[in-house]
Amino acid sequence: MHESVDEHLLERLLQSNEELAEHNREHFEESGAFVLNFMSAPGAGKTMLIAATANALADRFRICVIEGDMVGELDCERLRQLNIPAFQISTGRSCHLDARMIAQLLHERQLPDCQLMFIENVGNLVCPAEFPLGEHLRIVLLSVTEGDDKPFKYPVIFRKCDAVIFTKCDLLPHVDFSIERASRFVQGVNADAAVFQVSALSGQGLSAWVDWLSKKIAEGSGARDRLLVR
Amino acid sequence: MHEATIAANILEVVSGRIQRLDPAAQAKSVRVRIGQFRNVDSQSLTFAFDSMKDSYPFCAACTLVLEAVAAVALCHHEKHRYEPDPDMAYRCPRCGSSIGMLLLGEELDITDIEVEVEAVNSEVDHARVS
Repeated sequence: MHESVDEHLLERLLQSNEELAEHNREHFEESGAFVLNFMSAPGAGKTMLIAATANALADRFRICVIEGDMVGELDCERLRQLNIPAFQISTGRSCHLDARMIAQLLHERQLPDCQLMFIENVGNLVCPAEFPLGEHLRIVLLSVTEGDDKPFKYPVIFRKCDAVIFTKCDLLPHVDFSIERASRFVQGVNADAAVFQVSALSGQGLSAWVDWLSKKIAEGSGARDRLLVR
Repeated sequence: MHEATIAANILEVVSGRIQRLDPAAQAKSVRVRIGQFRNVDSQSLTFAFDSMKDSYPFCAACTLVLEAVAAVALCHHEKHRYEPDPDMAYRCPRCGSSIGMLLLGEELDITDIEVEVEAVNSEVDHARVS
């Protein structure tokens, strides 16, 4: 005998992550922390830019970093050597951070009272886009050594971010990377994204990014409306 | 490889629903709708699903049925619909503006679960749960 029910089930997948992200968000707002989710391919310079940004803002904000890596604490150690409080999440086999990992860290560890928190996601231009963590802003880094076509090839992560930072721009004279072409691809999928050109090594372009971030922190605005929107 | 997370999530939903509705049933199939702008590789998702389904109650014989949803965007300027094309850098083919609101293409939903029920008289019933 066959039986069929007309009413269709419609159950959103990954909803539990979004609910936990909302929980994290409430936690951040209660503690007064403005939170950034830094995403990029491996080696784009996330840790270095976080260190440079933290250095530029250290006089104005208490800062803390959560590091996501599959293995080890190398990035954490780099930041701690610069006197930046850093906490490691080792994801093991997982290629991205998810809201549960952040919630677990928040509940198990006593993080210092901070006003500005950087979450450095696992290096990956695909999976992190699908897992909001409770952040206020999503920042995607693209180093000029990776090629200017990445926003075209990985549109989802660039579509879901608030700012795109082209990093390692001191290398521009030596690589075949067109800022104009890369910007055009970014704008194609995300007209609202702010775009910056930075070299954390030389300091080039850092002030424009830091000024924009400072304004966003002051406004307390960001990805709130986007957190649960698909 | 976030497809493994999604596969586990599908299996949790299927297993949980059958547990609540009819623990004598077995899942026969689950239909999942995936938008073009969801970064999901269907082969990886199917592989992960089939590798994991034995570990979830009621799911060992479940088949994953995927329905791809092409993206449809609404042009900012002219308010007409179009399908964002990578060859056009996803821009509006008429006016060249960037992608605005996506009307379709960001789905990641279970839309249907088909179950097989061992009836009292040993006949096999097929049913859908919702």
